Amino acid sequence: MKSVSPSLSYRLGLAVLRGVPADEAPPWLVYDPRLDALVAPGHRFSELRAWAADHAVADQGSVAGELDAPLLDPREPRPYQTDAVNRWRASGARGTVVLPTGAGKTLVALLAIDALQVGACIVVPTRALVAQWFTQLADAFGVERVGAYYGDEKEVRALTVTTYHSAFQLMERWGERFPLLVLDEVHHLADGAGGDATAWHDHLRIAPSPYRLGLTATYPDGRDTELRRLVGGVAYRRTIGEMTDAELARYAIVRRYVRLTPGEEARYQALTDVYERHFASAGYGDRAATSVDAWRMFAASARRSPAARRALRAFHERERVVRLAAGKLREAERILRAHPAEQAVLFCGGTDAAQTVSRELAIPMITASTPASERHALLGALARGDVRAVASVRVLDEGWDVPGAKLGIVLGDSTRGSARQHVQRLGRLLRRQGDALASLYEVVAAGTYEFFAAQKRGSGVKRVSEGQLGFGV
Amino acid sequence: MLNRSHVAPFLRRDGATVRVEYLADPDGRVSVLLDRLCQLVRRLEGWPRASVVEALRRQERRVRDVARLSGIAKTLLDLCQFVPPGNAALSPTVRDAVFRARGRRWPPLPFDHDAPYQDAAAELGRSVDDVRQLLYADMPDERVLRHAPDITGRALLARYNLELARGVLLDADRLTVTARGGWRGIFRAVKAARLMYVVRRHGKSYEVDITGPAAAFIVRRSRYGARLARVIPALMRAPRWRFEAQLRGPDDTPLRFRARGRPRAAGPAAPVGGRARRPGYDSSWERSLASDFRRQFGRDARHGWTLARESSPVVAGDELFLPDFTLHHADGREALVEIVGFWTPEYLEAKARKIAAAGLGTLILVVYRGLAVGGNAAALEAAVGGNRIVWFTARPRAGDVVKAAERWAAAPRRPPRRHRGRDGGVNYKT
Repeated sequence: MKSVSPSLSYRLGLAVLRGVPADEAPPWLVYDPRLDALVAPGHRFSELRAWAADHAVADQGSVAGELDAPLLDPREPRPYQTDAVNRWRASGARGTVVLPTGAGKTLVALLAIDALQVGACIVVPTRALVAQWFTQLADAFGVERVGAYYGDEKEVRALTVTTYHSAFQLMERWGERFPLLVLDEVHHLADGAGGDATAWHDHLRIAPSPYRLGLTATYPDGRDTELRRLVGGVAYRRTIGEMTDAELARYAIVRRYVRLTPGEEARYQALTDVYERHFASAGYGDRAATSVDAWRMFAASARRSPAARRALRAFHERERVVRLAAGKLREAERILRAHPAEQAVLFCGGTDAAQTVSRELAIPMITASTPASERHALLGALARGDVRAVASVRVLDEGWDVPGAKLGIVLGDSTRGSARQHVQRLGRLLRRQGDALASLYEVVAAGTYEFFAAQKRGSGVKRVSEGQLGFGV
Repeated sequence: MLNRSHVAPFLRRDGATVRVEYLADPDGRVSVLLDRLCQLVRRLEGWPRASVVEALRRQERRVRDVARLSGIAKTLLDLCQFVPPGNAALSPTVRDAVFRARGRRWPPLPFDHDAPYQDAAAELGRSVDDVRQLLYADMPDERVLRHAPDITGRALLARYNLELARGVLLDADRLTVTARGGWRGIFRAVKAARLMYVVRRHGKSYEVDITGPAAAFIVRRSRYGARLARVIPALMRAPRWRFEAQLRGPDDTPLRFRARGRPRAAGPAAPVGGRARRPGYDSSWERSLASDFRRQFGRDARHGWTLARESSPVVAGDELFLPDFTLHHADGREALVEIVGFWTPEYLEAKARKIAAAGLGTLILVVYRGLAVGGNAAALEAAVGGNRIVWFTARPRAGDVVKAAERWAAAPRRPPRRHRGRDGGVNYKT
């Protein structure tokens, strides 16, 4: 290494130490020939900075974004929210706060940001959540301090909201600006199979932020090795059992079956025949060890075989018939009429279905491609009561708040029976508003594959909800 | 750019080596089909994207392998320009009016489906049909084809094969490139993609090893794959190039993938990339110097000098230089030539400092006198050494440059030993 004066810096995800011989530096640093320097992953930057301070390294770099803005939220924090922030700070401003859906995790994050008064990066799983956090942060600290970094929108401010998908790029380029990382729905950072780290952890590995706050309702107990290492352990936990009466809405799940129209029924059967006849005659089931392998074989042969291609198209078209079944729309209207005073969320099985629902019922839809500005406007319209219901695909499944919505209608399931998705959808409705009862209706096309998906969902809900959310169904 | 699903069907693994089954055209029939696709898309200018996509999909009856068609269609669509339809800007206003109208007529009743549309039409002064059409006119699939590329089937085939090679890099964590010329563009692409590199010299040629900055510390080491793939278009502009990429297999085993560009893609072999071309000049002064050199020395072998345009990067101390030209002499000496046109005193001072720090004895600066005023010129001459600067007034003269080269040229330096990295590389950063 060339003789240069000792210095520490953060560069593209690396903590870089120059001008210090390898035998005098911490042993966990490695020599990087590209930089002619010793380096470590960015998450060890503050550790290296402490070492540099002890060893009189003059240029120590910094992770020093400042906020300098008081919290302007008129809401009075509940005692458990204040308690959660205090416990988290006592853990060195690292760790996860576990609160049930609807218990006010966002306010906990706002209080934590206010307490530290530093630049913060808020990482969320979906674009819809970016818009929601943007609004909450802008209301709390002033819109001029808030930016969003995802897709085509890339504005870095003292408080910047990003998605897990874009967080790596943001940390790589602007990591020094964010002493605090807030990780919403942090259960996405559970260990992989066999307890391994996953790609979801990568942005945490390169981020130089010394302070880290995880938020979740469903902490991945037993699968949190990396989470504890990179974020910290559980700093505060409160279960739904401790809160239901005082804080959360009561709820009911109702299933409604509808029939396909004669035309839809005939088409469904014809498409099923095409698909099943090909699948049986080609013998995928006999040749493959598992049903997953059989499906792979089928998809691969669709590349070259026109018959397999026709069968695959029939399979997808069959799903479209079920997604867009006219009976589901009529049933949704009936349910909306039965709850005329409630705001509603209609969960659809695909973008095409959401657009059909939106056109037929004249209600807005939210998809991943809905522009942020329009999502903002939509939130305002919902809050004012100008708009009474919204159709969505998956973007509203998790984390997104429609505080007034106490009515959910499931018209489709893009996961073919995921209990977790079902519980997350229920979670959207559980924010308490007076004594209102939350209702989740499942509208299922009878006599189709949806029947079995609904059964699977139902049997899985109890297991997931008891084990991870704590509520009984 | 193609995604993994377009590329995976054509990857073949042979031990630790991955190769791509490029689309060849031995009897010219593929080019004819692709010509037809290009014409089809040109005829669809003005149509919505969804219709263009569907028209391309319907061509699957003409092909044996739909995965090929899917990749070719994606390559072609990426070359097209789609824009929102003219009235799409009205869609948010229309949606707002329709949804507010429904909010006033809540809940929806049987047979009142048209009512919100009628209310919105009255509010906006438009017909109900207009309002229905405009409701989602700004959706991505509604964008219309403004411009289709004017390319031949053969060019599309070469582009598709190049995109296949780039698609393989999505799973790469290291890219080693060698090129003859075109380095300026390659390093520009590397820097723009925020990648890091190590330069190695092998005799007269250079090899550049490109990696993601934090690749060694993350789980998904192929995270930089898309960024590595961004270097390839710059690489393919070089007259000759080759690269070797290190990939990660599904079980995380290291695999190798190689590709090379040919000066001319012709004959029955699968063409990859566009036609190779000579690197262009960055300024008219560069072009002028090259043509003056050809005029004065081009056909005269007695003087022994040849002028190469941006032939290779030059590693000197802690700096990497990309000279505009290299003058090579038959006896092995070489001199580097850099033209400095419009400049500021700060720029020249920084340049002089860099040259002095690098101890770059063979560099000749060809500087425009028009902007050299008083002390600045003197300061530059003092820092660099006055007789290593060739001043020019109207255009640079090859004779003056060769005269300076006779004085300063030397055999190319080998990298000093202390700069060798663990694997024998010379260490430089982006």
